[in-house]
Amino acid sequence: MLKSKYLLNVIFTSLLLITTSCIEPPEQFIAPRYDVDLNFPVIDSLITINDFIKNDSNLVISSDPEKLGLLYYVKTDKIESFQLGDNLKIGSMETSTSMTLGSIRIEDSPFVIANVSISDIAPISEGSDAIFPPISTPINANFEEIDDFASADFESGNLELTVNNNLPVPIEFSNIIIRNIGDNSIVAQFPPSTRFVIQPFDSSQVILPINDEHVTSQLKVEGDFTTEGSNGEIVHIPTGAGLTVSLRFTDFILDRVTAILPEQEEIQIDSSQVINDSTKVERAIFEDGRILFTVNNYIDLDINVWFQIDNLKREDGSVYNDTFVIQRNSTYQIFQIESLKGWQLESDNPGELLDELKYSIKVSSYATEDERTITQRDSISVQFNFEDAVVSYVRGLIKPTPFEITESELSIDLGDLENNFSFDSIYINEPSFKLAINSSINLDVILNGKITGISDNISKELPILMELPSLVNAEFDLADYGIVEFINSFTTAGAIPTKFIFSGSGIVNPNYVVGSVSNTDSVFGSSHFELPFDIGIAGGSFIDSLEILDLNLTEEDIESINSILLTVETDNKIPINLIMCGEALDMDGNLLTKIPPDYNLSEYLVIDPPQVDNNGDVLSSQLTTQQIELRASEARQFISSPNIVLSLMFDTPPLNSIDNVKFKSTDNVYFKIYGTINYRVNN
Amino acid sequence: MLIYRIIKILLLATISLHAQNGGSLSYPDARSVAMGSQFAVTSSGVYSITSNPANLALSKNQIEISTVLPIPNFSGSTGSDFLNVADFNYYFGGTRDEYGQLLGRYLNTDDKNSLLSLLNSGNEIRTSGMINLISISVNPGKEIGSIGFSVNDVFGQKMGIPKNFIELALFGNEIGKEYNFDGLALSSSYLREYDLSYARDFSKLLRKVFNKFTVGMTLKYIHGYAYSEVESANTTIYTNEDHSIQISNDMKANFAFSPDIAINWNFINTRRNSNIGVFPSPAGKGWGINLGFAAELNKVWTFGLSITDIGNIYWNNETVTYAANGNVLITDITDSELLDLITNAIEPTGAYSSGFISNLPTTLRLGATLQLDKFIKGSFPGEMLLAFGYNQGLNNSVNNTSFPLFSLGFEWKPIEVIPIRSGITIGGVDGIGWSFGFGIDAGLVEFNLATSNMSTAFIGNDSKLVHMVVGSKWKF
Repeated sequence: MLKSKYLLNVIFTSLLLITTSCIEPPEQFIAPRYDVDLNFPVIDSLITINDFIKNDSNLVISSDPEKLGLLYYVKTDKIESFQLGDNLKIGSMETSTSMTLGSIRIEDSPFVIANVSISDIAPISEGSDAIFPPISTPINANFEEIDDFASADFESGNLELTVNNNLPVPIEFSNIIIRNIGDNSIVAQFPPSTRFVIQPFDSSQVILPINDEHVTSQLKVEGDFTTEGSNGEIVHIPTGAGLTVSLRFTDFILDRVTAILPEQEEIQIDSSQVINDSTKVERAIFEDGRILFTVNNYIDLDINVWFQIDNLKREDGSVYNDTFVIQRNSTYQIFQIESLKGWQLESDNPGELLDELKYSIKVSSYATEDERTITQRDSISVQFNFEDAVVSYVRGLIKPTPFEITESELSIDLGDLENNFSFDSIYINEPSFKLAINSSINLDVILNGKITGISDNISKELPILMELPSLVNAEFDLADYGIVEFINSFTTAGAIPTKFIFSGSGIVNPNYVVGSVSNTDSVFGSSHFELPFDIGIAGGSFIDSLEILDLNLTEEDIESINSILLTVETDNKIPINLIMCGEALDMDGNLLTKIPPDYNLSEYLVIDPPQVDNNGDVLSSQLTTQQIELRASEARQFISSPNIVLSLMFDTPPLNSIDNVKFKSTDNVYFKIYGTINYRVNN
Repeated sequence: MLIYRIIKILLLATISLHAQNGGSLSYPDARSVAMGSQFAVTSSGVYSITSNPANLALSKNQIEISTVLPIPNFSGSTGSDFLNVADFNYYFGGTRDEYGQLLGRYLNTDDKNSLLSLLNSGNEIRTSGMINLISISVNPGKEIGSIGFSVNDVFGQKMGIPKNFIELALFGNEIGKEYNFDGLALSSSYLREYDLSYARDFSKLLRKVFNKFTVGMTLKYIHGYAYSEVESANTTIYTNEDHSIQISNDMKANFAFSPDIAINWNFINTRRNSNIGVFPSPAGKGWGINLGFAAELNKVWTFGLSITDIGNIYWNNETVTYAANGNVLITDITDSELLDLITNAIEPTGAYSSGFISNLPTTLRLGATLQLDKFIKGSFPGEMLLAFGYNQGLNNSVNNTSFPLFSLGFEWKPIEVIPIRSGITIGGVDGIGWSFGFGIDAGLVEFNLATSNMSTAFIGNDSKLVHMVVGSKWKF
């Protein structure tokens, strides 16, 4: 029993020990903190000038044995082509021609007849046999209505009157008057001496001139009828016995008429218009332009106007003519040739210079179906205008034609240097600026141009007057115009021209000679700028903000930094002395820390210049080693700074001079930066 | 006093060395673990399915069943071969500042050197476990043989941290010193075994030698749900005088996870959601066998031999390989091209792979028992069984080690119902260990409890291993 109790105690104790155990795991797992030194490389790079120019096609390396490897900033830009284009034009022309109707044509005038029957004369019946007694009696008879007009004003003409005696006895007809029935006005009055003595069954005719008479279509005749009779003899009175008076107008000129009119006589004018321009054309092809025709028809007739300009030819070479139909009494009827593109002006004979345009106008009228009133003075006017006549080609004597030179810009891309680079003075040895000019104009050209150089704060102009022979292809070195002095006038003033603008005007055919030119003829070319890096710089400085390498560090990471020690090794073969310092800024631009901080041996990093010879060529490199210590707060500020402004001051050796040194593609600086960061893990 | 001296020696040994974890996979057989993991000869009934199926035929019970009731059969251990709990507390437990706020402990140079010196004795952290979901054994008689069936979930994790890795982390990259990450291990696995065993008495074959001789075999069908391993980690870092850093990297790791876990790998664009059920889709499948032999010389001596977990798993369902390879000299951290090279050399690139094979933790187990109370002539208080064992892992898979494990243990039954067990182990994963456990045999049901590292109970935070095995089974 005791054994059992003992065993049970052992088991219980064991169970207790096993189940409860005696281990005490941590209440919370927390990684320990400790400081660790991390050695790391930053930069190990040989930076040659060639590296800089890899992506800049404007920086080229000289292959000239005497300047082998020398860097050039080269910029070639196209000079904007300046074509004659719309400058080649023929001055506007305008001419107006007026013409009157003149003679008036009406239908041929047939006779109109007035009948006087026997019963109006004597108390004898027709168809009987009787003694015709002597009679003296006035006669008044109306003519048939004239169909040819309703009324007419005869300027002149003849009235032809025929009297037929249908009686078996001789008669005499005198004191004849022709009157308008309407107003009883006299159209014609035969003189008293005019007597128609007419044998039986015979007739007599008389012509009476009329002038300035108004005639209506309804006329009547008056006169005195006298006969001795049949002398007592019985005569047979035929059926229809009496007098027949016939009337018509001949050889007349109407001043005005109201009638249903036939076609009038065609009116034609041949004339010419002097080209109101100094240009005399042998042949010109239009690029653009139009002709407006304005026709005024003051005639109460529909008319047909035919127009022809003898020296104007269509695209197919046919002489231009056209016909316009104008309604009666229509004014300001406008017709136009909308585009003269492809049309030509051509003189009649090769070599002949055309200084006027010949043209013809023919006007005809249409017969009417109703009565119209026209007069001789009714008129038609035709006006035509050449407008905006631009030619694409002209041969002849071309007036001196001015044109504007399209502005061409040559920009020098200095990148960040433009805003961040400053200097006291720079001397640039032998900069070059050339213009390569091509002219496709078969005439001489004068370019009255200028080069405008622009820097940040300076703008200067260099006038350039160039005489370009016809079809020239030549290069103009602007050194002859003083471009070297022009550029260095900027640099000595502390500025670098970053843009050149070529502009101005020109004149084609300044000597006013015969030739040919087309609107596509142009002056074009290129500008070529070379800036050798054979320069001397004094007091250069460059300030820029650095792109911060995103290290993806949290605030905790940054707070964990205890210190940073950076070692900077440089081996310089670029002929420049460089002094660098930086400032770490906060978001608002406030200074966080200077780099290097004050407690370092130097407040600058200095890259000493290599040794150079008298020609500015590098003789040997210069090794420099420096350290930058960043203690806790400065290290954290440096790492966390969103903005780091780097200041560089540089001069070309020898210091305090602007003796030029040569920057060559093989010049280089070897950078090696490495460091040790003391970092608190799990801070 | 002698006992206390012995205990003290054992404790010192376990403090200075390591705790015991049973040689290879620790089965949820509390009796065997308590006696020093003598699985080949001490496993019986349903517990022999996984460790020596021949013992099935020696079972005294016709039917045995183990399941989650009344106590689930579970074996779980975690520990390190270089860091004890006190060390862990010191380095990772933090300190309180003047305001009482818990902060990470600040390690001065001495602290860092001390931590580094711990790695002289090892560099591994292991966790393993096994849960027996159900086991049944039936022993109808010699003529028919014995049959067993069990389903077990097995998981394990092994992390090996090279000393150079810690040194680099603590002291930074010293100029002129090479850091080598060879030996980096980050392995884990989660398997489910379906075991079917058959054992039979073949005493007639060796009648002249043994009273009894049985042979058994377990056929294992395995579903693998998760697996990871670092196949190679040949990485070196060297910092030159000019602070440039030479990195040579050759690393390859394999992964396999059940599609139901739906890992969102960084090389796939689509986002997947996990959907894990009781029976997830396996990422790998495999077969294995356990072979066992058991012999009873007489009433005093018995012997056992088994080779367990012969086989492998073929992982081929959404398997992934991450690899990085390259040599790079870091001279300029502003050089983006160089940074790309560094990234390519260091950063592993993942891709689906055609699959890979992992080995089961194959282990040779030998053992012998001596029934001491029958061996000693004269009266002995109760029954005492002494057991001698030798476990030899045949590979270094997740739950295995090729370090041999020798053990000596006993089971003492002063009274029948409460067996007390203990043992001493040398070798294996954990060095020298003292195991202890006991059981309560209530006839129909039996409870067992054990630990392979009893020293934890005495040395507390100086322990490097925590191991517990519990279990119960029904006997008919």
